[in-house]
Amino acid sequence: MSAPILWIVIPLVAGMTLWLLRRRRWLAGGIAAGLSAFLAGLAAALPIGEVIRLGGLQIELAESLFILGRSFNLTNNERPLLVVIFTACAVWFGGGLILRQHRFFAPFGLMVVSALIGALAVQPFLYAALLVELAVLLSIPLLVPPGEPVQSGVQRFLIFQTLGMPFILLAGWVFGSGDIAQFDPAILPRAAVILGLGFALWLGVFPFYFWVPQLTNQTHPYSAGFVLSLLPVSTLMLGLDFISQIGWLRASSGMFLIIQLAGMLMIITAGIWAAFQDEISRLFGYAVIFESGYALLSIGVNTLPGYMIFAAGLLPRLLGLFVLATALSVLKNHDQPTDFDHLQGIFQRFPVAVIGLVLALFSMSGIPLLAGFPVRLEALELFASQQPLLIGWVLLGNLGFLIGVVRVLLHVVRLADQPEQRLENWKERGILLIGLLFLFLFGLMPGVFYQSVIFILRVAPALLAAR
Amino acid sequence: MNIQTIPLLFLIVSSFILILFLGWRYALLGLALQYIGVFWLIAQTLPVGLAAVKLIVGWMAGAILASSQVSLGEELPVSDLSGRIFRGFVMIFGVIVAFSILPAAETWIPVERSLLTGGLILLISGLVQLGLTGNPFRLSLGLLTFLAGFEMIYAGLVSSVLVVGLLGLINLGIGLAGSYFILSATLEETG
Repeated sequence: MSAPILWIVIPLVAGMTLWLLRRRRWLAGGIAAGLSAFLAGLAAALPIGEVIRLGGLQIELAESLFILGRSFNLTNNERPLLVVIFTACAVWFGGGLILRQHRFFAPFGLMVVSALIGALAVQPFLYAALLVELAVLLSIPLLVPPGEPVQSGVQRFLIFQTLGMPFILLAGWVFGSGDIAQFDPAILPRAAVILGLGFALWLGVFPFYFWVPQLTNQTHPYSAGFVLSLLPVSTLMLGLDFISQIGWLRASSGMFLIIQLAGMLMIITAGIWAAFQDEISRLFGYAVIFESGYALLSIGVNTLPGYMIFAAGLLPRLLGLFVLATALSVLKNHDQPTDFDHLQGIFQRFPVAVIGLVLALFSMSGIPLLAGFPVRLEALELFASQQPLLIGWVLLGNLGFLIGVVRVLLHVVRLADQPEQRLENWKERGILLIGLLFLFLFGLMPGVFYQSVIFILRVAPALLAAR
Repeated sequence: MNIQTIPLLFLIVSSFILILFLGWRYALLGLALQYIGVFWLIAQTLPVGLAAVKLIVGWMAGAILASSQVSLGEELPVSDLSGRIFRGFVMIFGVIVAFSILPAAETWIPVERSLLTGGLILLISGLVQLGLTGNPFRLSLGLLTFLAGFEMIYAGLVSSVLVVGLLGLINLGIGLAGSYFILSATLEETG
């Protein structure tokens, strides 16, 4: 038995098997959630590459799996990330049962996760781009439920993600083909530009991000939330892995400056667009862009505290997006429009969903007591000390996003003229309340959660040596 | 005339067919010609077996898309003469751009000139197709064309079986995703 079989092949095979059971949504969703939780537990408990004795049984989990001369490696360094990804999947699949997700959600969701873990594990790393593209293709049935026509947001998602792949492969060829010192020195900056373009297309960096709000507006928020939670996080981790493996990139101050500028532009533009947004599902898209901007800015600082803030920011990001997607899904499942013209009385009909929606958005804005606050505070302090010229722009973006959230708040608290009936069911309230509880717990006791998640940086060990 | 010119002509003609004519039959013809050209050029650097994978996978993806469009039973939107003239001119400019950036591309990417030329033509043709349509069928053809162009260039750089296999899988995936785009509304109810 090897680790890649456990965390890549088994989810893939399980996803394919669940596709056969897709008509039994509860069974398929339950198995997907249970398997994800089980794999998260194994990642937390089972050391890779060591002999484990269970009674008379000896198990050794090998690190590598060889396919067609290439290897998929999962080591102890990847275990914290596996715990985070599979825990998130268990939560999303569990929530998908309650929120009545369509029959392709669990099977294709597991296959997407398998492809993304494969991308993080494959060596040489240039093959990662192909596996990310496979994950993108597998996420199409997730985003377009059977029986519904495809919308332009999903089409653009596919186009931009597919356009990104060749850039990464080309850059991977330059950086991955042996001793890069033998290259013409002029080719390395060009390769870095190609690599940057590839990641910009993948992550939806300014100006390639207009598909994100379209996607969140036109598809079911839960499916969109799942894809937009896992895909950018995996892409960012892949980016860190690239930087960690290629010394030339780590030493390139120009590249980190560009990453910072890209992150800053994402924060500013997402903040400004959010301030003028009249549709909450589109605001969800801008929240994703806003979070990615902070992640890029933290990476761009290129110091250990910056990388630690990036890692610590993953938990509030995942939690905030989950609560936001869940709240929007509750509204969508009850055919409640989410544009500002149709929000009167919404608080009376969906009190917990509205509270979840507003608090998740406040958490992303960095409001105290909520999950996003400790990381935002640390990030702003770091940016202020390292890049004083940037901080004003970052605060401007933050202010814009906050204005957008306050506008949402002002519209959702408008009461209806007549008393309204509550439309949420107890299961929907339950999952939202659990999400809200964790939003507060993360905010009130940040150290407990963040110290453990920082270990995901072991995926990119060379970065831990950054000053 | 060099023998390498023939597959390049195939690629140029197929690009014009794909851009000028919007019916699924013409699209299938264009795609078939395109992948013959791709196979011809790639077979110079990769073993014929691996090059044949690209040909077969490309044809399969095209067949999946065309059969989905036929199953849908709806005709693709037709284009009038002025639209064709416009698209024709865009493609002519695209070919000119491909040839004019060729010398610069050669300094960046060390692959055979014919592969690079064909790859650039298809990359630009794919981008033009993607830019001129919102129709799922045409969009999938655009993506397949773009990827075929990239695959030609990449075949000159990397000759790994796994890469060929994964790229084949991605081409098929795009065909299937396009088919799903075309047919999703006609599938059974959400649930």
